Formats: sequence, C-alpha cells, structure tokens
Amino acid sequence: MVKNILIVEDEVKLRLELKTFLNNNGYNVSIIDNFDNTVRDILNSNADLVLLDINLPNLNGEYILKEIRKVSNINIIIITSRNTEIDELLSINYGADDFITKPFNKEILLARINRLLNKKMENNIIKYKNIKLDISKSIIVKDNTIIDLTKNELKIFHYLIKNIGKIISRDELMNYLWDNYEFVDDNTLTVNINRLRSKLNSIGLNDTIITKRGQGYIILGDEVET
Amino acid sequence: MKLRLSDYVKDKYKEIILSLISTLTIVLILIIFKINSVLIIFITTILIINFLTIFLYNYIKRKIFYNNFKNTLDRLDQKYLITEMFQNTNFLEGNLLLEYLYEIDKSMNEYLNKYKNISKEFIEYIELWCHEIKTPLATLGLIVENNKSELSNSIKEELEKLDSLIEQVLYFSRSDSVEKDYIIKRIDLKDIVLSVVKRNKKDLINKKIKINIEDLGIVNTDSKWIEFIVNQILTNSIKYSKEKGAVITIYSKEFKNSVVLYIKDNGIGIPESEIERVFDKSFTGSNGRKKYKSTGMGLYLSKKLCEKLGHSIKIESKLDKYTLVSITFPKSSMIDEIIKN
Repeated sequence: MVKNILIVEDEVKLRLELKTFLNNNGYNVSIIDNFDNTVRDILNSNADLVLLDINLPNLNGEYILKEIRKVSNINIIIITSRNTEIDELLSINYGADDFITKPFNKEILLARINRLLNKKMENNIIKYKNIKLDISKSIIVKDNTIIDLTKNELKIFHYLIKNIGKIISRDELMNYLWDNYEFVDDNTLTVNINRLRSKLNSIGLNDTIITKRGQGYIILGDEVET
Repeated sequence: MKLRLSDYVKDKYKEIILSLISTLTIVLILIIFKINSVLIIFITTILIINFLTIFLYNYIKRKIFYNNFKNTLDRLDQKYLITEMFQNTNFLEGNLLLEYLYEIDKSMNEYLNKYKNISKEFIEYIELWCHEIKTPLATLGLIVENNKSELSNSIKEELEKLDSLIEQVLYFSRSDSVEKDYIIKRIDLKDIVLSVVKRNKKDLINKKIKINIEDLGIVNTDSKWIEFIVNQILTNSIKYSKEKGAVITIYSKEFKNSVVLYIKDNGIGIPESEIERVFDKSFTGSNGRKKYKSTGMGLYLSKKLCEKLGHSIKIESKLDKYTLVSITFPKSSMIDEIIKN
C-alpha cells in the first residue's frame, strides 16, 4: 500500500522539490499551502507521516506540534535548519518522532521516513530459488543445510538480491556498504565477494553472482519473494 | 613601578629647597637679633625635625596607599575593576584618583558595550544567515536529485563543500559567543566516528583510503560539536593523504583521569618548523599553500571549541610519515553525577 506523506513547509520551491523527490521514491505526497489553519489541516489530512518545518511564518512549529499531540499520535518528522543538540532535544520533547536538518541528505531523509512508516513491514526472510536468506540471523538455509554469512557477505548478498536483474557496480556496492557502516576497501570487497561465491557454490548455487566485466555484478532472475 | 624614597625626594626637590631657604632665613634673622647660639641650634634642630617628620609622614602615607593600590591591581585579572576594590582611601588625593578612575571606567564601559552590542548583533545575524541559507541549499540539493544528469555528482560535491563551509562559519560564531549552546552528555565515540567517516565516504572511497576503527570509549561531550571537530580533523587527514597506501586509524585509550581519542594518518605530515603554529588562526602552512585550498580555520576552530567544551587537543607529526591528533576528554565524577541525575 502506498503511504501518504504530508509536507508542511512554507518555502514553495523546497516543498515542490521535496514532493517530486518523495513521489519518485514511491510515496503519495500532499502539501499545505495555506497556513491559516495548519493544525486542523494536518489533523484532517489522513497522512501516515507529516514533514513539519519548525520555522513557519507567523506560526510556532512547537505550538503546532503540541496541539497535534493533544489529539493524535501521527508520525511527525521535524524539518529544521538548526542543528544543535538543544534544538533536537526540544523537538523530541514537544512530541516529534524524528528530526532532520537542512540541507537534506537523501539517504538519511528516506531512512528516517522508512523507519517510521515501515517499522513492522520489513521482512526478514527472502526466498530465492530453493534457498531462504534469513537476514536477522545472517544465514542461508537450504533444505537442512545452514550456512553462516559474515556481516559483509550478508549485506552484499542482500543488496544484490534486492536488486535482482540489475547490474550493480562495485562503486554502488561499496557505497551501500559504507552507508551501513562497513568501511571496506577495494581488496576487501573482492575477498568478500569471492568468499560469498564459494559459500554459494557449496550449496550448489554456482554462478549465482555473475560478473559483468567493467560494469559490476548481477544476480539474474525476476523479483524475489519476501 | 612602585613609589621609592629616592624618586619621592627627587620629585619634591623644590619643596626641600624652599624649606631649606626658609630655615636658613630664620637662622639668619636669629643671628642678626643676636640670639643665644645654643637657642639657635635648638630652634634649627626643631625646624629640621619638624620638616623631616612632615616629609616622611607624607611619604609613608602615599607609599602605603600606592603599594596597596598596586598590589590589588596585580591581583586583579580585569584591572578596570580596581574602582570596586577601594571605597574610601582616607586621603584627598587617593579619593580624587578613585573618582577620576571611576569616570574613566564608566566611559570605557560605555564604549565597550557599544562594541559588544555590535558584535552580538553581528553574531546573531551570521547565525540567522547560516540557517536561512540552508533552505535554498536544501532546495538545490533536491533539484539536483530530481533532475539527474551527468553533472549531478559534480554539483552535489560542490553543494557539500558549501554546506561544510557554512558549518564552519556557524561554529566560528558559536566559538566566541558567551551563551552556552551545547549540552554535555555521555557520548559513545563510536557513534561520532562512524557518522563522520560515513559523511566522508565519497572522498575516502575515491582516494582508496583504508579506514581502521578500533575500540572507542565513552566520553562526556556535546555530540554535534565533537562531530564537527572530528570532521575537521578527518577531512585534513583525507586532504593531506598520500596517493598510495593511505591508512587512517581511529582509536581511543582510557587513562585514570581521561579518555583520549586518537586520529592517526600516514599522510604527508607537517614540517617541524610549522607544527607549533597549526592551531593559529588563518595559518595554512606549506602543505596548505602547496596543493590545496586551505582556509586555515579548521584546526584553529577545533582547538577553540575543544577549549570551550573543556577538552584539549594536541597534534604531533613527522614529515612524510604521519600525523597524530589527540583529543583528551577529562573524566569528571561531577559531570557524571549531574548527567546521571
């Protein structure tokens, strides 16, 4: 089901770009462009999540937050350009679920939104061919065989399988690992891929990860079951 | 300078000469009137003793006052507060001096306040400006994201540079403000280091720099400020890394009274002649001038912010070998106590 996000931001251009960006990432987005009745508009919006600029013209974002919290526990992420520990504490005290500072880092923005919206939706088991990848346990299960994966191997396999049918460059893979706090270098990545391959070979999944010369890696197939 | 007898005598030579002349005149008159010579000697002695007593009395009174004044002045950090230390000196010149000093202080304070206000307004405006400009920056970032082209990455890189330069301005203005706009909490250094390394992933991956993160401790600090400081140091390590085999190691050690965070690189290092000055404002050094555009603000600001937080920062380096920056977080049972409550 597509989730609805409401943007409450007075900068016209910023909110339009934000809308496009979130649309492109698979969300339904609505906007408030009149701030006469912001609290009422937010409450009537049926949104799953609100992005609320804390510095609205003639309006106190903290006041809006407090008013909403009196009657609703809708997900609210505060947008602000102030980045001190104090501002962060204040917003959370007033009842915001999260906090993001301008300028946005797109990964952080999406991660925070996803964290609030998909809390319970993330599935931990992915089925591919005749195996199951259990992400929370970091194992591959085939019939009665269980293979342990290291953190890096798990992340690499998970990312490739999530993007099944797409070529993933080494660069992209590296970026993904770094985003997940695995600061691997070029050699380590090669070593990890080789180890992952031999583990897959040991359960008969030869040639699962295919090297596309000069482009990257790919796992062939259609969408996987989760 | 203190009041000395020889100076006092020199200063009063006119009075002394006048007294001598008047004494001689009296002696002369007494001789003319044929007064008994024993009596003349007696009177002269009395006159001289009289003069010396008054002279010394005046000298000692001043000596006590000025010594006291000077000693108090030496003990004061802010010399202009001297007027607060003396209410009444029990002698006219002293009181006059205090009165005038008070007037001078007052006028200086007015002048100072004028500039304090100007500076405060300026800092407030700079802070506001730094926050305002983040909205167009955010918009620009999203425009680039929404309209991908072959220029996107290059524009994004420049936007990130802009953001970090603005961040520097913001922390610079904070480093001088009297207001306490930080919160000391128990912070896991690991969270800070991971986040900073991640922020610099683009450069680290591009330059093939190996990152080693070892055991990291828990310290009392402000997470945002320390993140800014660690980022300044890491970006330096990246900027001045060697082209091949660059490694940056980040670790911490716990001592009896402190936890120390170390950031060590095997980069081009800093010449011995320059190491003393790297924390100076606007100091760019031969490295900074040679290859890279350096503002000379990063380390200066880091040190200033560290001092404000009660940490200390040190740097050691060997040219062509390594640079090691260490930040010391003192352990304080008092802070721990406050945070716990």
